[in-house]
Amino acid sequence: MRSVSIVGMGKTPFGAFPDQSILDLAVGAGRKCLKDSNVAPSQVEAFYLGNFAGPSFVGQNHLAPYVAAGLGIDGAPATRFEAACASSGAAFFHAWMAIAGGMYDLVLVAGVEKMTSQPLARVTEILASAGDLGGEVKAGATFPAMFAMIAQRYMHQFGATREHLAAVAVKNHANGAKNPDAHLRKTITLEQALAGRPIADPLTIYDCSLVSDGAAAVLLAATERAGEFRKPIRVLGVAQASDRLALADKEDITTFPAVRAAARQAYAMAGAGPADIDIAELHDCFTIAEIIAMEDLGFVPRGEGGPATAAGFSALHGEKPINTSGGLKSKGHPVGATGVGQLCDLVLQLRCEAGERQVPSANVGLAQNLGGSGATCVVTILGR
Amino acid sequence: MTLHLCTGCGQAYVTPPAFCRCGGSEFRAVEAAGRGQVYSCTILHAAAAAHEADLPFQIAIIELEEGARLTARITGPAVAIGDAVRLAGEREGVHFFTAATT
Repeated sequence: MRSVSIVGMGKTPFGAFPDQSILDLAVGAGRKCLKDSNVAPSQVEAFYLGNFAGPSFVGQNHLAPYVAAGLGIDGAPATRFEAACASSGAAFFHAWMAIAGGMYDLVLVAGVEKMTSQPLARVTEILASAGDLGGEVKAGATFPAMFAMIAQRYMHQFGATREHLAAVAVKNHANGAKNPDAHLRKTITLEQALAGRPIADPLTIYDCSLVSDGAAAVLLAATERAGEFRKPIRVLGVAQASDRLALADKEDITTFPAVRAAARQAYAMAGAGPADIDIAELHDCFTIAEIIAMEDLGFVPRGEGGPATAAGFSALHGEKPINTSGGLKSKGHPVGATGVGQLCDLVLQLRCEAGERQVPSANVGLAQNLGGSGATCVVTILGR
Repeated sequence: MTLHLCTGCGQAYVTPPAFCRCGGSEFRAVEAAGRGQVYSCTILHAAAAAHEADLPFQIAIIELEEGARLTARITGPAVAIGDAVRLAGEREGVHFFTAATT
């Protein structure tokens, strides 16, 4: 297995962009990435695109060659990956495999989602289609409702409080306010977060990530060729794992087995453990998801994610900064772009190009990208 | 309500899978009383287009006495984790449960 590096990155801002099509967004991020790595489209040997629901959101199918052609990548295989909110994480994992296995030297991976052109009730319906349509979705469950049930059970078992959930939102908004590419650049107070409009109890609007448009891209190269590029970042470990789709089919909804499995494999590949991770981008689709991810990744013991967050453990200048980009909560969550977007933010930190939100001693970063209510997880560990 | 028990290990399912977690692939249909307790629940204040007219409404993951879990709608008073519930009806493939005391 060959070592693989990220040798370029590009992303659009995340937000609501009524004047930009899904193609504009994906091509925009891809072009920035190729420019960043000083690579011509003709040099790209394969193109992997993460996208959750382009066909439902904007009606366009066969997206990967559509975007590849827009980028001037001619003839190379172009394939779309769908794994709900982990779509571009899955695309990245498979692109990594293609280089690690010796098939290609240079692969472009992108993620894109165009969500804001649909009314909110329709967006909710499209997102819910990543759940079990025959069971939970038919009963009326939405993703906020599924994570609300996860939060209720978690609070019941561990005594966590709404203040613990709100602390995640306050922290991520504080970070996002420092990120020029974030969807919502504003700080919020604990009181605001607690008094938010109820969505599915105990979750308020401030516990939920944003509905955003956006795209992100990274260029992967065999590390033996990384010397040709500016500031390459090594992929130290990466793994993808799956679990049952329906929440009712899981034995314990307060932990995600796919996260634990992917983390175990990624840590083993990197020869690292939780203590070696300097910064992390975690999948805070809902505030409770960040708390559980902290525990499943081994950053804190079970049941201690909430109190640790409230105590500043994961703050920008805390012991282990989490979601310095603002996370899905504040940076935004264009579903198919999120996995690669997390990697772009880690690359910025590891290159010391994260501006106002730069963490001084960031040498090793971890990204955790979750699909649905935990049926897919991709964990990636990067190092400089 | 009908449950499907794995003939190998006895695990109960609301919808029988192709294979049980034990690897078994034969299931025996049994009638169940539809009694159980709330494993988790939430009251929705926002819903997908198809369910917006019902807002606000409560859904719950119910753990049946036989061990199977399903996601169901709650009718009548709101329930909490641990509450005993019973099947109140079924409509278009959705199970409706209600507090066992009502």
